[in-house]
Amino acid sequence: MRFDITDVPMPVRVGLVILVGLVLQLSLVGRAQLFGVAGDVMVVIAVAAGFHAGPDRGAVIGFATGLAVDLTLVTPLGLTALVFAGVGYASGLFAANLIRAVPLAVVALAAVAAPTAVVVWVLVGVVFGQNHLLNAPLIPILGVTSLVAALTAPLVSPALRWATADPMARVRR
Amino acid sequence: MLSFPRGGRPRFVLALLLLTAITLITVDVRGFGPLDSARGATGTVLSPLRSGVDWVTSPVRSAWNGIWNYRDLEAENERLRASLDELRGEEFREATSFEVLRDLYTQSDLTFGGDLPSVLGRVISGPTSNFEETVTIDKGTNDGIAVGMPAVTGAGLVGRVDRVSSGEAVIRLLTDPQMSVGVRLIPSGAAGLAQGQGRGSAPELVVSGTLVLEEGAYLQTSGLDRSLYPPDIPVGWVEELTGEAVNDEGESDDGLPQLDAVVNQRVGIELAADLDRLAFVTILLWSPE
Repeated sequence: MRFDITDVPMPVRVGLVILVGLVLQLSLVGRAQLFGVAGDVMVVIAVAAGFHAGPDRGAVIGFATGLAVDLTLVTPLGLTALVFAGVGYASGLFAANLIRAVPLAVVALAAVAAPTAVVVWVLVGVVFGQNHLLNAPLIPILGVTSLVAALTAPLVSPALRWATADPMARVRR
Repeated sequence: MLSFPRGGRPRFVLALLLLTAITLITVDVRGFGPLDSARGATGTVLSPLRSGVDWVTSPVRSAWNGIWNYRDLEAENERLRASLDELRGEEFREATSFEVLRDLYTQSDLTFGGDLPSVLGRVISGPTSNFEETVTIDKGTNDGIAVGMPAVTGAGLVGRVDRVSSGEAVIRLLTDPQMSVGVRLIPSGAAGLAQGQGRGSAPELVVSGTLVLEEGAYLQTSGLDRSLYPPDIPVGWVEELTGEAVNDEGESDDGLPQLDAVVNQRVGIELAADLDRLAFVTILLWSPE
């Protein structure tokens, strides 16, 4: 019997992608700064999850991704999970209704969704008493986040397409 | 036109996730031990993975951040920076003359005197997000480090241990807006509060509005009762006297009479320690009693 990587359960595949993404974020992306600001590859995972798996699974994967990020931050646990769940859901909606057929759609979606997620993250944080988030230099953060998201989306997107692939689709073929 | 799913399930799932997230935030803000343990466990699990990836990606980072001979320059810079920190610390110690310190000890009944045990840690990563001012070092609870312990360099105070796992500790830096340090001014002996203002902004000193400040006045940890830091650690000095009087809500004083307004003044301070390029950090194994 031939082994196919998609035989691995989807939660395991998604967990692997999140783990690899988190380690790369902490060790590489987060330390390669541009204008004193680091990009964020984790939000691209949430975007790509919604893009490939739809709003339902996108929200769940986004939540899990955000929770993993929260475990490495000093801000309240759940803040990033909340925002990334929304990002995954919204990305799923947009992908299903608007832009899936457009070339490089996932790149455009990531470039827009990533800075939007930052703004929402700050606003939600302020609602929960994290007023210090407003002290950060938001303009360069938004710019670099958008740029890094656009650059990493072509790499992250195939990983999420693989991780969220439905094994039954192969059986049906 | 964008159409939303008619089935209730996706939105139900989203609502459930959002509710879970809000619950987690609320519980964490109120301080819930198991969540801190989960963070510590995450640090422990990720530590070896990060070390491996750090080693593999080091050339990529160097190429990104530097130019030819980057490693040699970086090593030389670190040596020079450490020397500079030592010199700045010596300058500070000389400026705070023995007589002044003796008077302060007498007046404030400080108990600090001996050498504190310490652990030297290497900085292995900077802030995890653009919205926090932290560094992570390669020492943790296995080395005796606990949450709340002060972090210093040869020049002075750097911050405070915010989170710790078995092999790593996250230090919240003095520039973080959530950091406040009780300080004492030298030579006046007046008490104040040094508050972080976020990335790219100098921390500010908040003192009584009636205090006559001197430009260049040195600041060191006050070590007053229930202080989070031991006394006499250099913090920095008053940078410039362009601060203005502010009321207790941080708004400019317009001169109108304000009932119960506590008038303070805020001035920028320059930190003794260089926080921009920390390579090694010493954790003082000291906790407030």
